[in-house]
Amino acid sequence: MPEALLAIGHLRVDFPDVVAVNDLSLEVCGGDVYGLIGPNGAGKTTTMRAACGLQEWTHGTVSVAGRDLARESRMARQLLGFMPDYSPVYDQLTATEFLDHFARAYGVANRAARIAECLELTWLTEKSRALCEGLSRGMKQRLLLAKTLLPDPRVLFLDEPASGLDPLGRIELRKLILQLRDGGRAILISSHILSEMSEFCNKAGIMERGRLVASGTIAELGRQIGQRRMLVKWRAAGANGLEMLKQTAGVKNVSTVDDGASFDFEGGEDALDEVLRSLIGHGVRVTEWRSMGDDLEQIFLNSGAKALM
Amino acid sequence: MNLFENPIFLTERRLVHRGGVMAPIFLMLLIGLSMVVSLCYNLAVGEVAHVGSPTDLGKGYYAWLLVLQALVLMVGGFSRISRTLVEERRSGMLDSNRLTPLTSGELARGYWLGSPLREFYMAVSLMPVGLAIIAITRLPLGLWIGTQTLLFTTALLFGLLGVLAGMAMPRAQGGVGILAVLFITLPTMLAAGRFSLTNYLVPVYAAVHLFGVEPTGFEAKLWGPDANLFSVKMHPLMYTLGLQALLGILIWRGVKRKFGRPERPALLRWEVLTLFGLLLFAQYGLIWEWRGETTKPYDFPRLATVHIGALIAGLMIIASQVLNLEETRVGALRRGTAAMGGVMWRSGACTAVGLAVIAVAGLGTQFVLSAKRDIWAYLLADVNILIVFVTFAILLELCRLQFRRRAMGFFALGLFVLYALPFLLSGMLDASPLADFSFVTPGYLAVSRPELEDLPFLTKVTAVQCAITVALVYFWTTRWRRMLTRTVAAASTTPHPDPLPLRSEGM
Repeated sequence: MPEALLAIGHLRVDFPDVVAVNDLSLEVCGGDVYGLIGPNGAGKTTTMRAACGLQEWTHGTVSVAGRDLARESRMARQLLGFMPDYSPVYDQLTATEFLDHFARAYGVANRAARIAECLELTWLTEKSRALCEGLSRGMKQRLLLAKTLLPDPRVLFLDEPASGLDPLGRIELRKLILQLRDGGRAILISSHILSEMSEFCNKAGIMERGRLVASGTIAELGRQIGQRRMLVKWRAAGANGLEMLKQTAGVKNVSTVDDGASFDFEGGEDALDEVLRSLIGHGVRVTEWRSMGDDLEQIFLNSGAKALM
Repeated sequence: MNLFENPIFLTERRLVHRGGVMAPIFLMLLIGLSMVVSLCYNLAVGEVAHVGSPTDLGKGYYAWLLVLQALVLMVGGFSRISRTLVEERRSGMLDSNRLTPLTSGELARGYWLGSPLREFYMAVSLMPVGLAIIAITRLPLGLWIGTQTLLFTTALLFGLLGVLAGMAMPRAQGGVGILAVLFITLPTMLAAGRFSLTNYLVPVYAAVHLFGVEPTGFEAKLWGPDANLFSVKMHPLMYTLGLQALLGILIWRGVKRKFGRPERPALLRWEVLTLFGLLLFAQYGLIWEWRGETTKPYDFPRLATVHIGALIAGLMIIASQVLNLEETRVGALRRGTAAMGGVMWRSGACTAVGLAVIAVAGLGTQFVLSAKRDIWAYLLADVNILIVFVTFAILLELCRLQFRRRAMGFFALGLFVLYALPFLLSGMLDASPLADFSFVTPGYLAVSRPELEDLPFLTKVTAVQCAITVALVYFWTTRWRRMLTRTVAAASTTPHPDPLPLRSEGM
């Protein structure tokens, strides 16, 4: 099993009158992109801030690449990069000067080359001499991402990285995240754009009122939530197949698609096999049978967390 | 890390330069040049006779130049630093900087010396103007060196205070408020001459001494030649620089701590006790000599003024050290017990007792020669100090516990009832003894008029105030116990296998 670059154990953060994060444990290994999803106020940002050392926690452990954040904070901070969901920049500095500030602070070797590299990675080379105050919100987000990448951190915390980005920017961001993932970094990311997170997260956790209610690979999550969306296609079954599905135990939300139907299923693998057998037994000529699968949005909606939004 | 490699300093310098520095420098040079031209004109047309001598005229011009430099460096520098930090804290920029491997000291140094650079350039551009005035009017060069040294050391101290204020204040305008209070109280402080500690910190007395002013009559007593600390003569420049250095060290420690953990108080308990002790003994040391020179054995009105000043300083310190409700609650959660020991030890009441002991010892220095005669008045003042400090701390913590967000309103109401209402009632009902029930009255009267005939009555009043204090402590304890029990009970369902210590230094 690969080494966990980020390990959070039993983390608890207390705010006045509310437990912002409660007994949260998770591990993110190198090459993993872990998506933290949940409604507003679920504790995603607080978890990230605590895991970076910006928010004091009540108890728990945070370890970054084997360094205990509480005891070896300086070493641990050199190994992590945090991109907040807001855009704090020095308005009167150019993009290059802003990055130079952080390159010096992190003690980056060969600063000019690294700054140019990060600007290119975040598609800001053309704006390298522009003052930060003149950058759009999306560009400021990219600049912050460049700042986060400067010290080449092994663990990345990206809080709503796509907010403010245009569609093209989002596509580029997705590519960059996959590139970073392939480079062996551990990435913890939170976003409200769940459909996009599905495309690069291989693990996810659902937060609800400070607790991590489900965690694992996307497939595991679906099982933990206890529901999955299935797609069945048939030849000339018509109303017969639809009617049959609606009367089957565990099948919900049946809807028609071209030459077939999709439905939510609650139950184990055996029960699902039984549904297929029953369809075939009733003369339905099934041509396709599969899980609609790894859809974070569906998992999130099924988790019940949406009720808190 | 070398200052010129410090990224915070370099960025602040870049921001200052980008904002423009030449116009303010030229403005200062223009003002300075006008002063030199005016001086030369007055020397040429014979205005000297009106003033006294060319050196007297030069002193007048140079004094105004110093005032201008002081305003730019201290007022401008302080507000610039505090505003920069408040803005960066609110924007999240400070958090980004805190996440880098820079140490708390490096962060603090960058802001402290970097953000007021424009003001520094402005003050420095006036230095050659001062030198020109000194040269034209043949004033001693020592005056220029001494006053400029004092100016810049004081600016550094004010700058450190600006960093502390910027890390603690919720809004940028707070710095202006602090300066406004300073300037409102400045005339009163100035009137006390070399007997007021503030005139060393600011540092008016050392500057007056360097100017070689020779006052006569009553003024001579106020602005005489040497500073006396418990009758030990000290050079005012040395006294000022020594005091500023000691204060600077304590404040620097607080600043570094604040960058490490912004949500925590800047100074530890032993540091605030040291700070209070340092200020108090320096102040009592200064009025010791005055007391000996009067025809009366003691100059009690002056002692009473210092006593009230000590109370105000103590209360300000307690307000900054009062127990943080949330921190204590989290502490109880970490320990998993509702034990009151930690609350008692970390409470502002505990700090209040420590401060009271120091205040009592400080006051004792003024009664040591008349202990036999004035012991009753001294003891009464001692008990009063303890009551004032402890009730203030307990009342504040109790209001925070009970009323949370509305705490400050109820706290102000409590203070009004304890301190001001007796005076109000005494005026309205024409019954002066009622004023004695104010929590500050017995101590003030005992210190200002120790031969007082109504000491027995004041003793009874003090006994009543003691009873009120005990009742407050009882309510405070009960309320804390209830809150901690509830907190721990609510958390008992949550496992917390690793009761971690707080984040380590630097986070």
